[in-house]
Amino acid sequence: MARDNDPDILSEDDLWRRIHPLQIIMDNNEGRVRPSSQAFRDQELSVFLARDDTPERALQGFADKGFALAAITAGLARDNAQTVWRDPTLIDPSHVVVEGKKKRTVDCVLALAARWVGESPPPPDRTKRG
Amino acid sequence: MASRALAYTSGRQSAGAMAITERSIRYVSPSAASAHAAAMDMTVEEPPWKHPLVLDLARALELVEGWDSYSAPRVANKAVNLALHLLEVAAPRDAPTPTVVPTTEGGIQLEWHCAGIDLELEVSPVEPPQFSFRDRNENRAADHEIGADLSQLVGALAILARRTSGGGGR
Repeated sequence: MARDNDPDILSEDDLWRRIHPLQIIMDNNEGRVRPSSQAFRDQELSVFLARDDTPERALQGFADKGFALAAITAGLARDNAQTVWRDPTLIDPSHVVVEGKKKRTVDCVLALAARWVGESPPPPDRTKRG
Repeated sequence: MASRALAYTSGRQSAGAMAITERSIRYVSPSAASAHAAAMDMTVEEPPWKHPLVLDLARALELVEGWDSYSAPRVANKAVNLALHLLEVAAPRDAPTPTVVPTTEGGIQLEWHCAGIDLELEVSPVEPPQFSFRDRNENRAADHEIGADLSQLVGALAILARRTSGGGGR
């Protein structure tokens, strides 16, 4: 169900998305490791509000499986026709949803703009690929 | 587990068989096929990208429901099979090996980001496959849905192969 933008979430707020190791790619054009566009594809994209969370908690139980955290700003999402609203749960009180269609354009914009929280993950072992 | 027997045979005729079963891709040594091909005086040679691609696709098939830490379904066998088939048909021998990325709707995305080209081929279990092609050198980009006509995908992969093999510069 479509919701309104949450005015409490500011444009400069960072939103964190957990990235599965198979969605971490080497972009030789950019010369860096980044999330695949597929990591930002969900129409209702689950993220965490950074100012209400910590990287350790957001990755709890996942860091040892190779997951990483990538950050985008709420402003960037809104600039790309997404609505951003809180959806706290018992397990994830900082849970936020970035809602809107993302196929083939918005997902790429978000993936290219995403910054790693902490150190960049190492290049995947398939870095010699295209 | 019963095999759904999504049998796949190389498009390069008699070069071995790749049987994609319920949750695995079994690469059958082409020795028997090679012997047969040799007897028929046929050349058997798989493109270099194929073996690593099959390994990565097999790894994607091992993902369990919720693999992305949210609620992604398992990768669908038919998406893997179709992705492999599309490359077999459309990719030249000297194409670079793609990166295999599972999608959160149970599909597969094959990606290339090199030589100024960004090519993403998405194979969904529920929608027709599609690809986006962006050439940074020529400053052009386009999205395509793939139907029966593979010529646009063939063209995009040919440009990529030419560029990465030194024919177009970076």
